[in-house]
Amino acid sequence: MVEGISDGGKMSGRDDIVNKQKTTGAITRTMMQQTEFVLIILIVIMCILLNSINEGFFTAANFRSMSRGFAIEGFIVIGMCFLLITGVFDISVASVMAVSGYVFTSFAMAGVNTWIALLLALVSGGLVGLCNGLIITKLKVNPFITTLATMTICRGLVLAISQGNPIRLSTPEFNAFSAAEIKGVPVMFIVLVIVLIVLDLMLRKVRWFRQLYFIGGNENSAELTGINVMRMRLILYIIIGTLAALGGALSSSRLSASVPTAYVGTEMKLMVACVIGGCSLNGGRGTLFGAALGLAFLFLLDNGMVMMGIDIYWFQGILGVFLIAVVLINTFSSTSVEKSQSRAREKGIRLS
Amino acid sequence: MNKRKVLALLLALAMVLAVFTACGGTETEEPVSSGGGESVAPTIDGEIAYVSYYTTIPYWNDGLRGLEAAAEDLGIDFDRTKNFYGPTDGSGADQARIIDELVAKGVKGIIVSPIDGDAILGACENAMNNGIPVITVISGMNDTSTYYGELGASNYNVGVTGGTYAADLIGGQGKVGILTIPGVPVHDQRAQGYVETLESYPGIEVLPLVNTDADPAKGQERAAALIQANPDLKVLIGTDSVGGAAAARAVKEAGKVGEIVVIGMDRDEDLLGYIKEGTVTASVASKSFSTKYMAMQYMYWILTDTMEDIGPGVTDVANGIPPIPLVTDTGTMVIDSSNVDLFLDALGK
Repeated sequence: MVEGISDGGKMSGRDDIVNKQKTTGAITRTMMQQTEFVLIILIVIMCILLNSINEGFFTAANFRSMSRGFAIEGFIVIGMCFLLITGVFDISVASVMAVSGYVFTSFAMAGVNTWIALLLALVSGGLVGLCNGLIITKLKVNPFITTLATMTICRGLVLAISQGNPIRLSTPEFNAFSAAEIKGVPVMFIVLVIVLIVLDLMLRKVRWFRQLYFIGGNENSAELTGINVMRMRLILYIIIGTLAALGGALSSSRLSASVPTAYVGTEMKLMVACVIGGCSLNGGRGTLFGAALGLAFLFLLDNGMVMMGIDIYWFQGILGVFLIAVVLINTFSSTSVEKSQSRAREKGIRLS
Repeated sequence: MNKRKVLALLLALAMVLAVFTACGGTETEEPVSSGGGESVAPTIDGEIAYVSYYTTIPYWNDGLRGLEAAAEDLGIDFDRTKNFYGPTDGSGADQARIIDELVAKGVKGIIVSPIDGDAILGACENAMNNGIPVITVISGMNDTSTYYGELGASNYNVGVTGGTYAADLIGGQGKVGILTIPGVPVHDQRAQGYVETLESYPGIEVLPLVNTDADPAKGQERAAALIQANPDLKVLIGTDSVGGAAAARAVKEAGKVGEIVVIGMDRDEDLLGYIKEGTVTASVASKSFSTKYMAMQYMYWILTDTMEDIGPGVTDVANGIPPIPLVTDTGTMVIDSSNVDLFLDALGK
């Protein structure tokens, strides 16, 4: 079902363009809705399946534990989704988590007020993001190379300072960040959900956010329409750096320790979550809702495999199979929309 | 865009300069001669290198302390900032390459913790053929002609010790979960020791192994899932310190301290803290200090050829007799609430 198709009537030039945008927008919207719909169905099926295999799955305790891990990575997936929509990405987030977690824990250990320590950690993450953003936008270095470099530098830094040793801190104020609950639901999860809903709505309605899709779709055209692509990307890199710092701080609070060797591979997991949720590595597609669903799917998969007692050596293989399956479903559903589009074209319905 | 190129060049230059000033004394690739402050010439003229893997984890610290202590007692030049090598992951190929590079560099002796029984056989054989003695610690390798000897606790026996301890604590009845890193032979052997020991008790059910990926966050998540999936879980075991700490955190978060016995491995400060507060019941620790101390001592005997098994005045190595045992089992020690303070005090905490 495609809205906004002209019925072959007479249209003036400007209306053509407006209609094309409306049509493309409508098609893209439908595709994205399908991805999210598919994911919701998959998640529901998984939950039912897992609960029938092991009743320990559908318990408040299990969800409480999963929601904490989800919240920690959920904040960062927001930043990753924004970046992917504009056609770039950041693989240094895991190292930023480690560094910021270390900053947070060190200052808290030294007696600094935990909120101030958190602020300092966020600033450290934001600074890394600023470096990434400047090198990518001003010096025009490839995002992969740049963030790969920052990833190794940050990791090396935290390893050198800590000599590989985790630092342990377990005070009520420090743990409260991750442990705090309202009616049994972790506070950080509630905060994440609110932030996700607000930002997802803004991504759909607010002009500044809509521009991210134009940048991802066609960078040059976006530039020509007056969008400051460089500045927007720079802002996004600072945002994801700060969010990664938040994730690292929350994780340190939860682990009661800052472990300098932790979080390896998180950046891949987040990118996969976004892609499952509808983002394209080329940019121009995706929603926060989809990315969040994608991340939830990955968490459930991991949790589920432990619940099912799947042989440890099959774990990785099965994970891969599931990922391909979901991506194929996504591709299939988007291809079917394209097919109906071309069918409509054949029938002589003007789409522009 | 000349301005951009100049900016990029300056940035690159600044970064390179920063790196050189920052790691003036802490490079682990090119050892700088340190003989400056010593008044006595070292007894071994050259470098003894220690090679391990996953080099950034704190587990190696005690062993390095042992190597340094023995080196100081024997008058050998050894320093963890200069003579400690190895890949930051578990790559056998990288470990073999590093050993080849050390041989090419002309080191006098190599002490190595092999990643597995096969990956570095060629590199060690090459070293031995070039007159560079190789001694392994923690585990041996599948071709005993490629090294002089191995020192360490049998990893399988770690599982037996820990498994027996755990089984006795729960009276031989209940469900047991194990957190490990599959595919790493040291852990596979420990896990096997645990599984076979525990399965010999008819009342004990060993759940499918859980992979921590050597990551504390993932380990905790998966341990938490295991606890939720098995509400009657009695014991949670970690075959390394990461697994032990992850089990401790998961049990704490689930509010099941005291209900679930946690058995950890090794003696990271992290884990010791959990033993002190009672979350972890015990940890099976290898005697990493004495193991590595003895390894350095063995290396000294080989290089100075001071053993006379044939007779007085007739040395071993020169006459083709290996002066050290092929296998030295250095055993394990169980750390629990009765002795954890000793270990914590030793860390200065």
